[in-house]
Amino acid sequence: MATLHVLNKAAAWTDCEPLLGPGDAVLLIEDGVYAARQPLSVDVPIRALDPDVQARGLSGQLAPNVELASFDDFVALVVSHDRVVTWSQ
Amino acid sequence: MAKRILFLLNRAPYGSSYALEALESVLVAALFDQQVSVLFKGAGLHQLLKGQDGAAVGQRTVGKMLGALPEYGVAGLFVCAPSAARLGLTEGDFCLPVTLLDHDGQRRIINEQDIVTG
Repeated sequence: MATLHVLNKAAAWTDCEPLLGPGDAVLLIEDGVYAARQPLSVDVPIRALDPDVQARGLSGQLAPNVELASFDDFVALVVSHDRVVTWSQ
Repeated sequence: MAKRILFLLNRAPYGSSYALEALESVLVAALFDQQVSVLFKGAGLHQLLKGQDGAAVGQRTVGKMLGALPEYGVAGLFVCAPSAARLGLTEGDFCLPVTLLDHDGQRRIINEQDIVTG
């Protein structure tokens, strides 16, 4: 029963992080990608939407445990999880 | 087949229309006999404060609308306990009975849902 957590604001990480569970994944989009500049010490996969990273000049500046995601990856992540929680504050 | 829908409300009322609009969605979902629950987090806890008077700013009173939730069959009314502690709020401050949940409890509730929305 895995949940995909989508963040579109960096500050939302503080609300999202404590609710991460086994099998979950995190996808940073829009301004959420700024959260990936610092190391995010959690043991679930963390992805950052590549176009949003490029737009903001963050390419190559993300924490080592953050993997880029394309829009196709975004769709695959949504489909492969039971539900999506969007954190926007 | 009714869906299990959790509304995650983390916006303060009156300063923007987010809270009112989300609350209207909760009532609509409940009207259509979905299994609706609500989790108040962060600034969303301010929606539960007693003594609100939206008329003072020409708006509907969110707190009063919340009072209708139980009559609409919305059984699950949850509040993030860490948020309450951070904001210095207790159950006595809230305008309706709620269940306080720690992070583990919130994770359990979220993982029971078909849909989680704001």
